[in-house]
Amino acid sequence: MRPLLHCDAHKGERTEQSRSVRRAAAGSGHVAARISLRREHVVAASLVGSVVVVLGFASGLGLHHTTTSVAAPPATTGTPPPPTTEAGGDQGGGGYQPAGYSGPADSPYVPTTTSASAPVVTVTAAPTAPTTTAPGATTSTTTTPTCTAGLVPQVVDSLTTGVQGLPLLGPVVSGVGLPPLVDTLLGSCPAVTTTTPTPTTTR
Amino acid sequence: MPGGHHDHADTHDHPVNVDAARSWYVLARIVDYLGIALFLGGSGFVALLWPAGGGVRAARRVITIGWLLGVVGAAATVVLEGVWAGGGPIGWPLVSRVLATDFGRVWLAIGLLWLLGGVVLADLLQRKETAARSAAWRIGALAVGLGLLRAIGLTGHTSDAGTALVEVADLVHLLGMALWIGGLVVLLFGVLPRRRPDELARVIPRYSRLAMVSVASVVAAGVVLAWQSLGSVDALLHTDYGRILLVKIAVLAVVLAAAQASKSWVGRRLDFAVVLRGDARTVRPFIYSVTAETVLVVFVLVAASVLVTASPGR
Repeated sequence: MRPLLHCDAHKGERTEQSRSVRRAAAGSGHVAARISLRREHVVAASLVGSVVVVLGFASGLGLHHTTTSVAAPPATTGTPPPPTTEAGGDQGGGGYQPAGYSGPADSPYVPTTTSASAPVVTVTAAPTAPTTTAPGATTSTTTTPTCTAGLVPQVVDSLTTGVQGLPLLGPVVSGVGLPPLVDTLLGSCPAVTTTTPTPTTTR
Repeated sequence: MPGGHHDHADTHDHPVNVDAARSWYVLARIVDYLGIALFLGGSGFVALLWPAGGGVRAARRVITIGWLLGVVGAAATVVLEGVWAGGGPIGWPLVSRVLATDFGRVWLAIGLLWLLGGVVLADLLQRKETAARSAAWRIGALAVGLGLLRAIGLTGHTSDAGTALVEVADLVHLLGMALWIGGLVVLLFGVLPRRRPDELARVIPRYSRLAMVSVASVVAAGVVLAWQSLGSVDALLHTDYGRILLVKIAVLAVVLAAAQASKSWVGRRLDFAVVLRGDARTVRPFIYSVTAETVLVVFVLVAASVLVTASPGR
């Protein structure tokens, strides 16, 4: 009997212990749930706040507008010219420009759009009256470089056969001095400039 | 033809580079619009119509793909904008020049908003259906979504108008587009393949109503935007911008015909499909019409992307 009673007493203790452990676990679970709930709300509130700040930045709040913030679209022959002013009527078969673009009126950044790889013949100042051969006068020419079609354009080319007017990435990035691996993938057109002395006659 | 472009590239005619950059820019905008539609529309679908979809891998995959497309589209837009506007080597100097412009600043903000969208996505991927049902996730997704739509609106022609009506119309136009297209894709890849009668009965009628409201909003807001951009019927008929818009409207009309087929199926056959426990033959016509809608809607996005790069000529 005695051992049994002893055993029952121990059993009662253990039951009490396990109850308290369960209560503690339930309590900590409750706290964890509450913490998780709060964290969730904090994240949501932070997102809302961040979005407001980013939108303010996008709208240009607090920025001092200067005239140095516009990049000019290229002025090249043979392309639809981006409109300088949005006058009424048709833009003459083009006038394409990214929407939201400010226009070139006050642009400091006017990139030289003459392709580095395009053949350009520069003739030095010609003597007024050539009679005799004078050294030093040169004709600088940029020869047409040999282009290497990249792997990606070739793959895309084969995939987009039949798609009208979708040019490949090669023309966009050709000759821009990308690393060799990128050139291999996308294609390259290295510019080769040679300077050849030419005889000039002066009188 | 691609071959022709290669020929031009070989002659190194600079205008070809500009044209190429513009075409790739248009492609980047298409990717960006698709990203917005899938991410925002998919999240909206899960939050509003189908919280259980948060636990469905296909639905989460649609939202994830949307986020990836959005990030890639935004980054590509910045770079290609630089190439198109200024040419020159692709690299940090070019990107920094673009980011120094108003246009670049807005796109930087869009990139940051996509990063915030990544937080929303990560929460959904981690907590799945629990996140989709929680108010906190919905509020976060709503904030990021509206922020993205507003920022995209700042890159459009309407940003020049400066009137509240036009800017609200732009927001409504984009929101309606996202809910409609994103919902279509989640419906097609998430709900319909499962063919569960309870989901069909609960989700499809809800989406049908949402799509009707979205399309009505898109059309109404589109009319306001078109009027603001063109200003006259004459401009609609005789400018490039107007002609592109007409093409977009024509494709939209075809999409709406497919949408009408879907709607009539919901009215006539959905009950049968539910009673027959999602019988494949009964559901198949609906899958076909939803697929047609989804494919055709991409062409509407293509027209929209060309429009944002065209001058309204007003």
